[in-house]
Amino acid sequence: MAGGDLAGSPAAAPAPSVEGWLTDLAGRLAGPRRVRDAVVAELEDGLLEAVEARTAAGLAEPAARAAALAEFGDPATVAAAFRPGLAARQARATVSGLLRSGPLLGLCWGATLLASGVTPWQRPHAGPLTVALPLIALLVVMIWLAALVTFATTGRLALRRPGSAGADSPQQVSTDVRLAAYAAAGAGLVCAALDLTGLTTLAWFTATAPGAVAAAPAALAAAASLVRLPAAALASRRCLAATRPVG
Amino acid sequence: MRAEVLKGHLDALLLAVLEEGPRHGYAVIEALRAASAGRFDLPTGTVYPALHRLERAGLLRGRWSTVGGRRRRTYELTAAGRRALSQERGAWKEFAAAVSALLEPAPWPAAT
Repeated sequence: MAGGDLAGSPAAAPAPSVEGWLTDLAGRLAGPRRVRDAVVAELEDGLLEAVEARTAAGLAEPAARAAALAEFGDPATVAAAFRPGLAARQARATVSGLLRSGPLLGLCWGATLLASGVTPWQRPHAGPLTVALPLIALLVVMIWLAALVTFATTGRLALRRPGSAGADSPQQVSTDVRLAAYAAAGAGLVCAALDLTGLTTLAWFTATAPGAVAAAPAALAAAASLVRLPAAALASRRCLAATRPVG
Repeated sequence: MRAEVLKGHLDALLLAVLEEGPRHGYAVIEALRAASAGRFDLPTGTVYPALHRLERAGLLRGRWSTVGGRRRRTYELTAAGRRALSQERGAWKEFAAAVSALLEPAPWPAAT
């Protein structure tokens, strides 16, 4: 129909912009912000190179831009292709962050115990410490195991293993990356449980034996755990989100 | 040629293209296209993530620079990347020889 070719038809639409394409891509990427920003910056350079190659060959700028964008494909497809790599980076970043925060938190809670002079074998204040300390040790071991799984499944040796090159596809992240994401998400949740255990134990002491706990280190340890608990839970969520199909 | 056909050989092709020297992502795509006379026209969504994967595997080293006011990431082979390329070449020669032996018609026996 002749009317179909008038204003409002695809032919009349303005040529797409490189900025618009990049914004669309950025909105579809999941993973650590620094890595996502680097992907967008790298593709911006590539796109502009592609436009310049065409204008140098004599094409008008709008046509060169449209051709370059067509060559790069739709942002959803490109974002999907980056998904396995970004999911692996998210898992590693999460576990690294948790492992870095662990000693700090341990130091804060250890200092609280030492300053308070409360030990599991000390009566009558042993209370929940006899349960909390073995539980904390178990949770720490679980975090280290999850970290080992994450690093082993996304490290250099795993990536160089024969067959790993084609293991990821936009439709399906590899078993290795999925395992890494689940392990990292699990480590985050265990860290949150660790913080919750420390806070609950502190609350018990504060309620049942006021004055038994050294206030300053306890406040510092509680503040550190109150910061890390939601951060660890959020990081877990991000690990799982990074493996989901691109919208 | 479709990207799926090249899937098992993509790493070797990327390493080979970077053997001559450092290149940025789009230059890698163009070099693949030029060296294959247009047969290997791989999509962006295949080449860039593969470069990132090879970098994480320690076979490539990526560096940022500023060119014409733009941030540019350039890739070059590491020593491990050169060794991997050499291994891939050896494996490919064996594979190609075996396939050729099966697919190419045997010469007719000479008439006596």
